[in-house]
Amino acid sequence: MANLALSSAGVSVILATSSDDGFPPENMIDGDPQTFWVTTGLYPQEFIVSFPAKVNADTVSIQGVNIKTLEIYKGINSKPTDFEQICSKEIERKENENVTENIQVNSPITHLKIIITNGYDHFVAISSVAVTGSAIN
Amino acid sequence: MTLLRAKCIIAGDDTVGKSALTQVFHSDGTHYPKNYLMTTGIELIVKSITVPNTKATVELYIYDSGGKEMFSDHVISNWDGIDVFLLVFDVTNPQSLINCEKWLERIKDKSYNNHLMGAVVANKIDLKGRRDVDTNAGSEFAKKHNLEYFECSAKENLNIEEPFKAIAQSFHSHYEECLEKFKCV
Repeated sequence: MANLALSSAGVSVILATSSDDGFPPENMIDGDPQTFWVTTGLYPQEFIVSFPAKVNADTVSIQGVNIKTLEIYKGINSKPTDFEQICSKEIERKENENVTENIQVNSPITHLKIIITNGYDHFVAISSVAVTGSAIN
Repeated sequence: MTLLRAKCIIAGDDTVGKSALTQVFHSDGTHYPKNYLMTTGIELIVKSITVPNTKATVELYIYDSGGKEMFSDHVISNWDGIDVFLLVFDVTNPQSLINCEKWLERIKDKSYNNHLMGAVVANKIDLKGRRDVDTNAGSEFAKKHNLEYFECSAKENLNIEEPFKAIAQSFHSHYEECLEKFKCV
């Protein structure tokens, strides 16, 4: 199914707790798996992905390296407030390998907040955040 | 510009001068605590260091940790996710160097992957007449554990910044290594 979380569709990252000019958070929603956002030290690390309008989300897929534990929250208001937790996950360890984590959402969302609560190394890279589902007319 | 953030633990026996070292570093040499005030838990201070020859800055979150054994459980419970560390001993007290082994084990327990980025710091080198640990003993210990070795005096503000610079530099190098790996997957 098509990925709704693309900057070309007006989606943006409105908050990220780390930023290195060379590896901006927009890299997670540019549709290119070669580019990535990198955390620059300490945990937790957090970012918020915002859609221009509410969408019906089926799944969220997060692809990254060194993520150990993460939490995902959804926001259904037009403003990024009142987040509700969807899940809290521990990801299996794979040395220097991209791991994709698929999470069922099955809900309308306007914002997604993702918190990386811990990593397998000092730094984590995330190459893609993808959301499947459908637009709300 | 790159801004890295690192959790930096200052470990070692009580009275070796961890707080003095930390405070002299934090104040750029303007504040040396003349009276001894035991650290019973953790004092957190933040200071940025520019990594030489790069556009990167490392913000060190320095956890000056009480060294008295009585508080060790409490102190160590705050060490999760150590990035870098300084292991401090007192050159007039050989036992404080021996105990560095114990402190290092505790640090390893809390590190990612047992991946260590730290340095050994011999403090109080101004006390020349009372010195009881020679350079060789200190540097041998550091070498054995693959750590850098520095001698300093918090009181004389001698060589204080160097160990902090060194760990900031290793942290930055590790970041660069990680980036290279991330680019390949």
